[in-house]
Amino acid sequence: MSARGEAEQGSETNVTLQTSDDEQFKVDRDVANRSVLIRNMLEDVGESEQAIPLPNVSANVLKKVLEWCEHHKKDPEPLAEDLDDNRRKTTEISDWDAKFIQVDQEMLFEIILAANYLDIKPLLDVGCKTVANMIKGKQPEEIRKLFNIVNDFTPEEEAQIKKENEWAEDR
Amino acid sequence: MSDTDDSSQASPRPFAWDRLPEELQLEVLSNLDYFTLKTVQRVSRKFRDFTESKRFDALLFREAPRPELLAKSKRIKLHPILQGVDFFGSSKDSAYYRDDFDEFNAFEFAAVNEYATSPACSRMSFDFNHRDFEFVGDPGILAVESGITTKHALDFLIAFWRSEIEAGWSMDMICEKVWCVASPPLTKVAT
Repeated sequence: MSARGEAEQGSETNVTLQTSDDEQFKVDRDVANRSVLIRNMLEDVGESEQAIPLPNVSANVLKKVLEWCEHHKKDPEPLAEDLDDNRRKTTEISDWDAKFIQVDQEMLFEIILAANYLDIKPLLDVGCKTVANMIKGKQPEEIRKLFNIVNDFTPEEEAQIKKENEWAEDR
Repeated sequence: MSDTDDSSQASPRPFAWDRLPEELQLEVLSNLDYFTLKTVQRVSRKFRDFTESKRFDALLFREAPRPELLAKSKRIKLHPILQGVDFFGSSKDSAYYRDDFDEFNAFEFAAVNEYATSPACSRMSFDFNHRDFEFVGDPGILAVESGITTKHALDFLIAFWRSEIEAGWSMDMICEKVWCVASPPLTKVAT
């Protein structure tokens, strides 16, 4: 409906985004529109020269996020009903996304938070799947190490759960 | 392997899991498969509690039968125990689940009480559509209104096999031959 129309009309205009550390980024409206948060803001304010403040995102993270948005600016909008279903089904990440997300753990963490805040569902999904892939194939102790988690089971409880799941190990 | 690599690099910091909002932690975990979730349960109390969340019911074969779920499911998943059991022992409560190293009796594990399929169904038929089993009769339909658990299915199959042939008969990959009659339509179990 109108949101779509506006987005197309405005595709040639630039949008200025301002990060938490006061850097400004000028991007195509198409690119910025990948963020539902920014898209909604743009629809509310209409045409404006004013920079959009993003107080939760720093410049180095936004730069990375915008790289993703730039590459995916032509992606079709997923249908609302598809979204839930697809996200459950596919564990694959596209080659480009897999390469994009090869970053250190802190950046991965920041990208997930930023994608969540900016409301960029497909990017959030790439981030969450990447973390999920880090868990796969690991033993509980390795997962604890990965996430810095303390084992708070008593030895008896641990033995009990281990016994219950013995058949399911290493599969 | 990657573990040791990571620790030798400039950024040995673990992933800041605790700083992720709970909703996003759950979002991460919902990308895991059945077996990984079983491992995750053993990490800590909090992880175990997470896996009790309703959003993992379908993945962990805990979702009670609801005809509307079956009707709209393109795929019905068969419980991993039913996919793995390939041998019934001589006693009533033994169904062996084997891998390269070990042999487990499925009845000894709590997972045997999980539903036999996801989404769960209340009627199931088994078809041993295998040339070695051509002489074998039809076990008929197993019906449990509250939902068929893995244990129900194993009990049913064991009773059938005990009536048909000698104990100890190898059940060579029954999973490929199992059909499931979902409450409304007939649906093949895809494995």
